[in-house]
Amino acid sequence: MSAPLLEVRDLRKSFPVGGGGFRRRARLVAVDGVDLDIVSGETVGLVGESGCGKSTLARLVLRLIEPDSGAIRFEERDLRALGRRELRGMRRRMQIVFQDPFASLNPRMTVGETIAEGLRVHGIATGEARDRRVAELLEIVGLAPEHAARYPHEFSGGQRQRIGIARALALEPRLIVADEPVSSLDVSIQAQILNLLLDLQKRFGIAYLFISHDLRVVRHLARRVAVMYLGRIVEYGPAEGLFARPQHPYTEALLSAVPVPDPTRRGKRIVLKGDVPSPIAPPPGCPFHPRCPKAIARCATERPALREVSPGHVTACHLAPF
Amino acid sequence: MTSPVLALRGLRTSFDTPRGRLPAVDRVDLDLFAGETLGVVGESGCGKSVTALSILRLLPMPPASIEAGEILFEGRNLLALSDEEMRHIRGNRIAMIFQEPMTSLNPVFRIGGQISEALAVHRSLSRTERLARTLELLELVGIPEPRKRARDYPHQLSGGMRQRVMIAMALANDPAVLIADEPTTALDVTIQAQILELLEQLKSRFKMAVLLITHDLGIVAESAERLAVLYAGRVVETGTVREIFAAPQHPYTAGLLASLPSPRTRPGDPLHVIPGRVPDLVSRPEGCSFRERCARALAVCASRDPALAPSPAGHLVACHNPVPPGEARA
Repeated sequence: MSAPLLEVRDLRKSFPVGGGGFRRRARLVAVDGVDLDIVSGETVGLVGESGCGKSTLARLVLRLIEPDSGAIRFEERDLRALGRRELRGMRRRMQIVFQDPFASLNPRMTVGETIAEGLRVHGIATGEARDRRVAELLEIVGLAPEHAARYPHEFSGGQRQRIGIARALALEPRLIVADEPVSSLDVSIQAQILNLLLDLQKRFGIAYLFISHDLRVVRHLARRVAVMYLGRIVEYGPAEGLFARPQHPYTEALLSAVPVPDPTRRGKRIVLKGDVPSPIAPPPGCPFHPRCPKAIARCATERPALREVSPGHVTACHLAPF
Repeated sequence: MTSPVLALRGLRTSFDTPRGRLPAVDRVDLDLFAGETLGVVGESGCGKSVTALSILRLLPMPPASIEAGEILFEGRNLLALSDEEMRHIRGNRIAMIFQEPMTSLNPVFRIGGQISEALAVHRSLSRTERLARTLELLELVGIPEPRKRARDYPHQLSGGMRQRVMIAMALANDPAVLIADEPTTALDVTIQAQILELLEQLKSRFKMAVLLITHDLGIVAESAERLAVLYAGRVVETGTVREIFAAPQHPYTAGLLASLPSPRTRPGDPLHVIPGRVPDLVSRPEGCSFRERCARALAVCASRDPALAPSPAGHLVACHNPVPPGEARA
């Protein structure tokens, strides 16, 4: 098998919080030793709840923020060893699409300027060639070339998300990190954007790191899925197997908590007790044990390591396989 | 059959905008019975929140105005009440919880004090009685260590806990009707499951009627007995959740259900898409508002606005050419 497009090893990032003055500041461990591989042209889904570290991980992967430690290899090159200039060259190949299509577009730039900005910065196309490329990109994402002269406020949420996608596509990336790209959209618009992402992958062989809290959407898009809890991946495996037979009690609870649009399947929820613990002072042992309906004594003291339960399917639970 | 505790008849609420009058809700009829959850679903701008705010007369007037219709609550038309009379209803007989509890709670007061105030407005209780009731309410909504938590400020609580506090405030005076406007949209899915379960328990325990406003058809399927689908300010389909999910008759409802990735869709397959978007309500087109996005539209749809009428499947649908039962969700 060829080397993965993206290889992440033991990635860590913490942030100082509170304190100040002479008090020692506590640290919030956002990403705590994450390994992740993405193969060219595939979609890896990354799911978890607020504060689990998924958005931090996304930004680390692109080196939009600097990790404390760990390795990130993209197209077999160590991203952390790259200088500024080389990193910029590399960034052409990896792009991000954000959740909020209202906050992520500059309101004072026309749509055309926004989409062309990457081309300009990287000196790829100028003048008429650039305009042609912008027109082409607008058509690829389902907008019209004449939209280039308009401003973001003239567009709906779904259309703005298309603009964000056109901007990401401009530099022909091999990887797009999509951070909750459809979460702020209405259901009927969500379907349009998801179809667009699927279509672009087919046409251009782009790999996605697709971050979402919506398991229904992830199941539809991703070939492999990673579940994060308190900064760690607690389960990772082929989508089909993971959804059919989750091997971590957290994944199982997450799946059962998703409301299913089918009233005949009512009342099969596993309702977890309590909130997600603070990542500033995570519980000892397995970080999920205080909320876990299956926890045994060992879970309170010994942190489970990720181990393989079936080919390519790993879980960090003492009790697996189920 | 018992009479509804809350009934909307021909409600029309409009807004004055620079571009003209915008009827956000038009000719809406809804019935809400004691002990049931009625799900009101639709996408942004369909009028679901305006409906809720109209019931409680919480819309700023102007620019809003309730131009027609009646809101009947326990036999009285709320639209005919004085402001003073309305204050006795609001937060007392009809309570409401919102999507973002942080914006509905006052950040500078302790939560115990805020619940206590909700009690003081509508009841003559002594301080001690109010405190006892506050602790009882916090306990009721599943907040651990109520005595300690009552002294917390809203920012010290998690999103889920804040929504529990909002629910405690709403329940303070034993309302007959609880309006929940996207109560779990800002919450994580495992916390959402907790809040939905709590609402379910409270509803059956106190025989409350719940008007659950949501964009999530999954939530409706799990928590509501009946449902009303809103499109462009109108009810386009209403009936029991079972009937409508089994056989949606309005092409919009059918389209919405089909556009959700479900265990039935094959991963990677294109999802069903409803083409186009919601019409501009300032210049609402003649005829059916959905017809320009509708694959089943007939000539009549362009000229005559369909009224809600009984469908072959037994519920009400506003469509000249409803989806035949058995054809939807294919």
